[in-house]
Amino acid sequence: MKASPTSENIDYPNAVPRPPGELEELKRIWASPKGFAIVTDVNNTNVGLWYVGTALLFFILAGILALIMRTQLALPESNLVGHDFYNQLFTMHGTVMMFLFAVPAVEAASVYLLPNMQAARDLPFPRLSAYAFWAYFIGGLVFFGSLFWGVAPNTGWYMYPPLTSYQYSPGDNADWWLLGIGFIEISAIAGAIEIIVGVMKTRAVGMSLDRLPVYSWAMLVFAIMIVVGFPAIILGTVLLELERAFHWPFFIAEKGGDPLLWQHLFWFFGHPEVYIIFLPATGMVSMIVPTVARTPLVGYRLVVLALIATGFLSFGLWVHHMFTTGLPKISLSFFSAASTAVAVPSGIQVFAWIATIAAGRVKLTTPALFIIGFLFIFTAGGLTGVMVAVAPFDWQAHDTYFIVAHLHYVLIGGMVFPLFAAFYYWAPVASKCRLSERVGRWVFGLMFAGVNVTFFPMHVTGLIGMPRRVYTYPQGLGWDALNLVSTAGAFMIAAGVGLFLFDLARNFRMASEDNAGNVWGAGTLEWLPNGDYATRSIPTVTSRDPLWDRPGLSDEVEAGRWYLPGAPTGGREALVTSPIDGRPQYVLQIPGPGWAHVLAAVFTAAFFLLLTVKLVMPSVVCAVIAFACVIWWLWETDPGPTRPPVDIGGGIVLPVYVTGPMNHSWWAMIVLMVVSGMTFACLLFSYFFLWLVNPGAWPPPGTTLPSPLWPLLAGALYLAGSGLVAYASGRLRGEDRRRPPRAVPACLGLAVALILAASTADIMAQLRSGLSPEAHAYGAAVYAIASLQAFFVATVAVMGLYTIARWWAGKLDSVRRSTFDNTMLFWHYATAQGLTGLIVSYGFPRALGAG
Amino acid sequence: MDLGSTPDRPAGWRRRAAAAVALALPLLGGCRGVQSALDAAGSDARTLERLSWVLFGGGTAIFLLVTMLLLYALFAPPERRHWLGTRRTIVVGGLVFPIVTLTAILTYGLVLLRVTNAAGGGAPLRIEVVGEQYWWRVHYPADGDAPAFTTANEIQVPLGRPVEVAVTSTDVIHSFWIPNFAGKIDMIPGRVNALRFDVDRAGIYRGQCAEFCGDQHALMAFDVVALEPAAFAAWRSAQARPAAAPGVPLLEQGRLLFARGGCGNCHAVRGTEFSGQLGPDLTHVGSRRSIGAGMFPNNAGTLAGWIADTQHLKGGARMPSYGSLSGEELRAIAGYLESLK
Amino acid sequence: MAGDGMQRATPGRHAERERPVLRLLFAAGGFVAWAAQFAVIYGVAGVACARGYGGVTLLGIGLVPFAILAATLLALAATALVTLAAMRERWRMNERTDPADRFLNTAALLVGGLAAVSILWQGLPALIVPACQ
Repeated sequence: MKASPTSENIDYPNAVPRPPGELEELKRIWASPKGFAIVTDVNNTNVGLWYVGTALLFFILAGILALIMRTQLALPESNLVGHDFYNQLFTMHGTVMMFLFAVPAVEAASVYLLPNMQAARDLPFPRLSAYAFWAYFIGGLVFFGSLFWGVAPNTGWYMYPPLTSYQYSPGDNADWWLLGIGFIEISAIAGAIEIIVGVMKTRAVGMSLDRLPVYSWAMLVFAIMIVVGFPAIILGTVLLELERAFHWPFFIAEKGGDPLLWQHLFWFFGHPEVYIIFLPATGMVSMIVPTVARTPLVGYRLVVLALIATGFLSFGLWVHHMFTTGLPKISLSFFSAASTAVAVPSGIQVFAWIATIAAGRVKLTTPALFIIGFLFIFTAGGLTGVMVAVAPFDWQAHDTYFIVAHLHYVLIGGMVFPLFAAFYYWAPVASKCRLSERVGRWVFGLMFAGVNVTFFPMHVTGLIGMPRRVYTYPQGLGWDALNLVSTAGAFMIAAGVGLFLFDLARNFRMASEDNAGNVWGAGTLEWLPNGDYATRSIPTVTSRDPLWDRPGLSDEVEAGRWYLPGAPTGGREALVTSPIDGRPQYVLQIPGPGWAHVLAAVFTAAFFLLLTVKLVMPSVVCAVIAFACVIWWLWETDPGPTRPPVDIGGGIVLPVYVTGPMNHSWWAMIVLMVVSGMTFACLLFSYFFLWLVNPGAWPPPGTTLPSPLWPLLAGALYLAGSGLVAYASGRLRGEDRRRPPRAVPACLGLAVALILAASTADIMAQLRSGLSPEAHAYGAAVYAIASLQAFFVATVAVMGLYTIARWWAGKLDSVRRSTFDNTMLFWHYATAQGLTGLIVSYGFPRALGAG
Repeated sequence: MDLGSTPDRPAGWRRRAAAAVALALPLLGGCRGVQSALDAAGSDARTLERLSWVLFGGGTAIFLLVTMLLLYALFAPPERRHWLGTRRTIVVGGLVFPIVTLTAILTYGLVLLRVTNAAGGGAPLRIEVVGEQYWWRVHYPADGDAPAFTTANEIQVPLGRPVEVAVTSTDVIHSFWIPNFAGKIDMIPGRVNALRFDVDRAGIYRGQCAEFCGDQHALMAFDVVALEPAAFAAWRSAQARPAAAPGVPLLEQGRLLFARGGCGNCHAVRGTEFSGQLGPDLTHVGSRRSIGAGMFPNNAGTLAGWIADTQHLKGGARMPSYGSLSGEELRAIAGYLESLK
Repeated sequence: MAGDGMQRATPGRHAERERPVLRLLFAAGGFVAWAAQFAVIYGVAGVACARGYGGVTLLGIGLVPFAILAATLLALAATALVTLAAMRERWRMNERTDPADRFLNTAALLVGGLAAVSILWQGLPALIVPACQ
């Protein structure tokens, strides 16, 4: 994009000087609470930094675990740690790195960076990201603590049953994984919803899709992938916990289950997970490379193509973790093909960066060095990735140190190096001082050499026979020297990270207004002068590198010449823009600091953790408190049009409240429905998968199917409930806000009764037929569908009652109806899911000729 | 299968490539080994090994190309590197080149997928292996005139005849892997998977569990012996015979202690009253190369140590330690077991 | 009063017609076709092999390769349709066209090309790998 000085550039939307007191008011409104109350803060600049810091802490902790493992493996037949502790170490290293470092780190960085990059005051749901942070912080620390009590998970980060089921892992170790990680996945999904709505709805004026920073694109694809991929693992953990706690045999072969079902569910999440980690890092690289090369990114559209392609193709790879499970060769070959195809987008990105470097003039600063290191290591890892995509080669390489080498090349190369580049690159935004260039070179040198010394030999170690996940190995198989070298390399990496921490301690001082500033001469909006309120005014963007194309922009923004220079609603607010063109749509009033979401996070974490150690009653109490906190939190949302439309400058007058598809919470609800739909789809996949492995036994002989009247009754009740809600919606229209009709709460109340009756009828029918969930996978699958539906019905019932309460409190009328709209959307979703579930559980066995 | 039928050429290829890489990296000296995918002793393994070298060679070439382009982009004078800084670079380097090379690799990989682990070359020798925490139950079904028998933690195969190993598990998932012969195949409860390969170089090899299976996954290995057909037939008929009665008083005392200790509840010794099925069959345990699933060389000393201290040597294994036995008693039992050749 | 304000919010009114989800899906249309093809061939091969239909033939070729080839052709046709629609849209564009529209159009074309390659690769096994071995 070339700079285009048009007449528009001369007419600023707001005149200077700004009225006295405007900036002070803005500062007062966005100021963080002082003292201990700082924990109630929701501002993305603070929450984002805590979040990044916590992720870094887990990186260091998991790295220490790796050092213990490498020390144990330095010599053959070593006795430094026993098998039990070692098995906990490698399980926790993988789990913590994946779930407590990598995914949170990239979400954390985007909580901090994304709003700044899009010149938004904050993310659209600041309390949701604060909730996600606190849940992760508390849950993660307690989860890690399980290691000190010797009860940490010890069956691998991939948790394959039957090893993880009740027969072979009777202790609490596996429950720590299932409940702890299941909980942290929910936090990741909350973050993903925030990011999707943030990228789509809170951008600078005129930041249309073609001007969106590549990082925003990457985060959009990242978040959509989480929304599509994480439900599989959430469902998997639920099924495995049901098997462990109640003996529902989803994965037990002698009762009609199949251990491979878990592997499908796990890897349908697990492989995209790798790209979920990698894409945000490439987004960062695409922001840093143009700056260090001092030229716009070459091939913006091709890079966006690569991001979209990766997002799709990465969902066609999961069986390449299962190449040795004995599936038909034709099935393997589909995944081989997709695994090959996914190399193309990575190639596009690598060459886009090389082209950008060639087009510009790179100064070898620390971020540039980490980027170059990333390109070397990631290219090597990508090439071994193509090798293991060839199924016959993978038959040898699978589960050996070759794979350990490959995955560390792609993950350290593809994610850790870009993240360290990002630390050095963006530190001046968050800190008074930049980090030291001199120390940074040493950090890079040690880490780069260390990674190669550690992991390159492992390619050989693996192919000459050393399997993964062994706590020791015999002397004389040719593995000794290679392992010793790898251990030496691991300590080099540790030295590099240690030096980085030293640099951080010496130079990093949190700052907002007095940050070090645009030290690299970058061109994107996160380098605008900013404070707690982010940018003083929100500029119109006419290119992808606005600060390069309009050198005066920083001063204009800081002077308050652009949009929304003050706080016209008297509270925190964000400008909501349209998803494609970035046109201003409305001024969103966003909540400030509060206790509700913090307490909700504390008690949600307590619920899961107490449940893990089987303290059922205390955990139920915590669940009730957490639930009350969530209601308290929600009660303050949906403020309605509290004031007349406000002028943001340039003659643009925007409402402070909208409903329907323009509303940000409508978008969040749609995303939540996608999450729910994916969870249900994974459950249906499980049902049909179990049918497939049980020829002639679906249902098992001797099962009586319930009368078809039951599902017909339940279906009619679901439809009637949805009909009533739709009718209530019709009554809640019109211009007269003063008299919301009584029919609305009446219909909602009746609909709650109907949907509860529908779900009860479904479960009653199966119970009356004598079907047992423990005897066979068929019963387990049927009850799993009914139970998931019951969970959704309970949620919808609570939403219905909550909506009635809003009406009661006078917070619901024909204009202020976002709460109602969201309830209605989810209601119709629950009805659709219920009907699908009825058709499958009652119709499918009959269609097979049973009953 | 056809691709591996000319053993000379691929071997030469391998040696040349190995020499080239060994120059660059002295670490590669240890590729030869009893448990190495880079020391193939059968046609499938050789095909996979050649595939590995092709992929390494190609990967190295592409890596060097990308590296050189990157260094050129960084350090060449601006007017010289100008041509590289355009969208054409991305289209050629990131789209056209990968699509062409990947099409070739994918096709090659699919063809190899078709020909490896495939039936052919006559009636295979069938071996049934069950993975258990943390050892291998090995069963040779009757094969023509040769009767069936069961052993443990050791597999012997004849040269020149296809072998089909049918694997499953009775507890958790394990993975059966003899890298010198073929790739690995998972042993999954409720499923029977098959691995087909042939062996053309006599020798002693080693296999190991490749899927984490719990506490002692690291110590779940087995011995593999490839023999000329005649030697294999002799081994086979020896294995099928019942155990010989102990001929010396010390060994007879060992047998009695074995019985008194209840060892026969878990272990079978064919030809005696011991018929337990929980642990490894010990009928010819003295003939095996190692004990403890590939842990120690097999002799009276290691056998005695194993019986006395199982849980210390391999904590989490199903067999308890018999630490209360006296040294003399241990010697007797170990002697008896060692005599079961 | 608030109702008046809503009426005057013209920028928002316009943007409501953006239909962002549909347009983004259109831009990614080729890969949507790829995903559908992938699901179909994986499902058909899985069921056919698990239930022993691997030997069934249709029009002289095996059921599984037949299904793969058919799904591949259908997915290619769908990708071609999206790409053609994008090209027609392209011809109607001029220098006054909104850059965001132009961008989404380019995205649809690029995605179409890359998705076509992926779809072809996905169908390749039908010609090489035997069904259900």
